[in-house]
Amino acid sequence: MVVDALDALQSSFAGCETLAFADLSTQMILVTNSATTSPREALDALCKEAALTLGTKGTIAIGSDQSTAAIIAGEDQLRVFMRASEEPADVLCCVCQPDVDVAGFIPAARACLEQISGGA
Amino acid sequence: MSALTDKLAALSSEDEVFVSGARVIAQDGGSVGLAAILREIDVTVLERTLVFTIGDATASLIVAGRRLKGILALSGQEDPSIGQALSRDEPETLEAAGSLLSALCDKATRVMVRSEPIQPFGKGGDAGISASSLAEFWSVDLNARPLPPVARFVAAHGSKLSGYLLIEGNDVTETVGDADALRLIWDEQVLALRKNQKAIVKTQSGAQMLCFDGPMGEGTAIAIAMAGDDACICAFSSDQITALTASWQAIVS
Repeated sequence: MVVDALDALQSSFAGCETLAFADLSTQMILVTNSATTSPREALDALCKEAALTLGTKGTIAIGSDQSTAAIIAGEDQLRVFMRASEEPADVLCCVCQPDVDVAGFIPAARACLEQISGGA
Repeated sequence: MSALTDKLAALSSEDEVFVSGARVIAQDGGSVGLAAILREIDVTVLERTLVFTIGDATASLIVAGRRLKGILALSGQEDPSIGQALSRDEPETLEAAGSLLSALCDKATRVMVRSEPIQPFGKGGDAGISASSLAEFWSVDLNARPLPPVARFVAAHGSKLSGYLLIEGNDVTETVGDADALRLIWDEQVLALRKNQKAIVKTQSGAQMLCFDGPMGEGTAIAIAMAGDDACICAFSSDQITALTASWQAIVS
């Protein structure tokens, strides 16, 4: 189940707070990790930011191609958005504390997304 | 008088950061770290053992009367200057002590200090050497301060970047590599992106880096680092994304 994969990823990294699997074509959050405390409005904003930074159909945020991942690294929060390689509308939105192990988290989040999107 | 005012201000600062009981005195190594160590010596009047954490190493310095008496211990290091009272009469020992501390600071990304009780060291008549004299002898600028976040990021990773623009306010102050493409992105896309992002994330404030994987094709990455009026847009290989993101987090956190 998708929630199990999200929960497993979240529990593997101290500082990982919210994980949301979303559909960019409808800009809807489909599933979140069970421990998230983010209210609905925050999740909606997260999905909008994913659409903005990754780009949706016909839109590109930065450069000439749609990005496969976007990372927003702030003083008090790290947000990661990444799109699945085979299903570009499938995206994973992540909210972490700024001291999360970035080098370990990003590859793990990528693997989690590909697993979910591939239906494994 | 201004020096005294500066010291009182430093002593009463509420912006100090502590990690595991140690006070962070420099979020940078090199000459900035060594200057921070000398400034700590310069504000220590009563005899104390100042224990500096310099990156992964620990240096215990005997300090009194705003003077360094000597290095009591240095983790993982054996050198004739360790345990010796420092004196102008023995410039080789003085130089060796400076080289040891300087080498540690060059590798460190953070320097911290703890003040501990005195420990037996040298002879009673050792006066030590003042911080200002040490700065002169070791060629350290006592006023050396860390660069602003964006400048530190570029200074640390310039060699990994295929191109970048440095921006202060609305002015491009430095360009390296394929600046035209980056300038186009800055002018035509970044400002609109920031405006739209602020409309979505209303609580966003402070320094921030936006990093994109693949915006100019597979294997490319672009980051936009912003802090205050300073900004940088840079291009690099996408396999550097996690390292550069982690570095930015370390700089601003």
